[in-house]
Amino acid sequence: MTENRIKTIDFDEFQSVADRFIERSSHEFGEMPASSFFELLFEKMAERVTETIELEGEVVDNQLVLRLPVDLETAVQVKNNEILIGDRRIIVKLKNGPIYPTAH
Amino acid sequence: MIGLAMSQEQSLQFVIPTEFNQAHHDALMAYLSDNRNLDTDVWRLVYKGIDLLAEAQVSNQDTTQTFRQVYDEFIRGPLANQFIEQLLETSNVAAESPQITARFARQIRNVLHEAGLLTRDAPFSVLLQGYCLYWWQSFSRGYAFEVYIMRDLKAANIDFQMHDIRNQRGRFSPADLVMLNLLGDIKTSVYFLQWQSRGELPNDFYITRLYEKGRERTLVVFQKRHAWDAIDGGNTNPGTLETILDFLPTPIEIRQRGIMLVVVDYETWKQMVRKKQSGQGA
Repeated sequence: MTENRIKTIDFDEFQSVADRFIERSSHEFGEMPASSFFELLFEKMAERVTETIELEGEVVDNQLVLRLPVDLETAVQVKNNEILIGDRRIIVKLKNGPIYPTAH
Repeated sequence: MIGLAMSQEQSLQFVIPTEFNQAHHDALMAYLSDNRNLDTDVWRLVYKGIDLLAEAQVSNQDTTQTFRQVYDEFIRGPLANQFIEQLLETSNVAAESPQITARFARQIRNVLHEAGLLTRDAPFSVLLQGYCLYWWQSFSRGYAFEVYIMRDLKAANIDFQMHDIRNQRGRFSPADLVMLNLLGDIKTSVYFLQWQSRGELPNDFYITRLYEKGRERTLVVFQKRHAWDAIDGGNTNPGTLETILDFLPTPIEIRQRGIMLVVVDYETWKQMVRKKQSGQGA
């Protein structure tokens, strides 16, 4: 690891900035100009998403089970509550209940 | 963690992504100092910087959390529902919400300090405080705006279904409201761009608030062509990013990067929706 070299604002100076920020927020909405908003919006919309995949999910015996559409050809793999994309594995857990991956 | 850099300050350790550089830091400070004069390049840096800080880490004794996790656990979790309840108790949300927002924001410093996550001995701890302030302001202004629009649509006798903002599950719904079988979102401009993921817009129309030429409350609706046609919107005039609000209330069509959106002022849009819902559309 290398140390991040950024020079942060002085602690006390930042507290003044924070106080003024909060004070301003008590009487204004802090919106952004239309030209900047739409320029950044179009920029974001134009960023390519190469593939969108809709998974179906259901809870079976307290297990989250995700499924790919049957006829979909994709490099993404799905096993119960796990989604494998290349060398990355995403495990989706239900809140308020343990979900354990099961091997098939 | 690969790609991250570490700073050690006594027992409190911060790991800031190496991609977060001086320009991101300075842009965030410029935003917090006064966001009314930021140009587009600085706004771009602010958004990117906040996204990077979400994955920054802070370790205190045995616990390591990302900035996003700290915000969720110490700020959003305890404060969000209280804040929403207070919003819903207001009689004039536009007038009263800024002070409510500020009252909650003033708690952030003490909350982080008491959690042992904010100290002058750890210079990067101000980045955590700035991250939490940024998100709290975006969140609270966003929902104050949503409550304002919700009440205004009701007062205008618009027929719509709204998601439940009283609980987190409802707040995380993909759309804020449904009307005329169209999915819509209500977001302040700053919050919208931070929230929106890349690629095509998922919903049909968006109600937002912009700052322009000293007018802080320019309300507009931007929408996809089919949503415009669904309210019998009719003809539009071509517009540019620089002049977009100059033509309002005339509906403007903006084309950029092969994408088209129709922008109209909120009052005009409401009249069109009401007309359509009352069966008087063309």
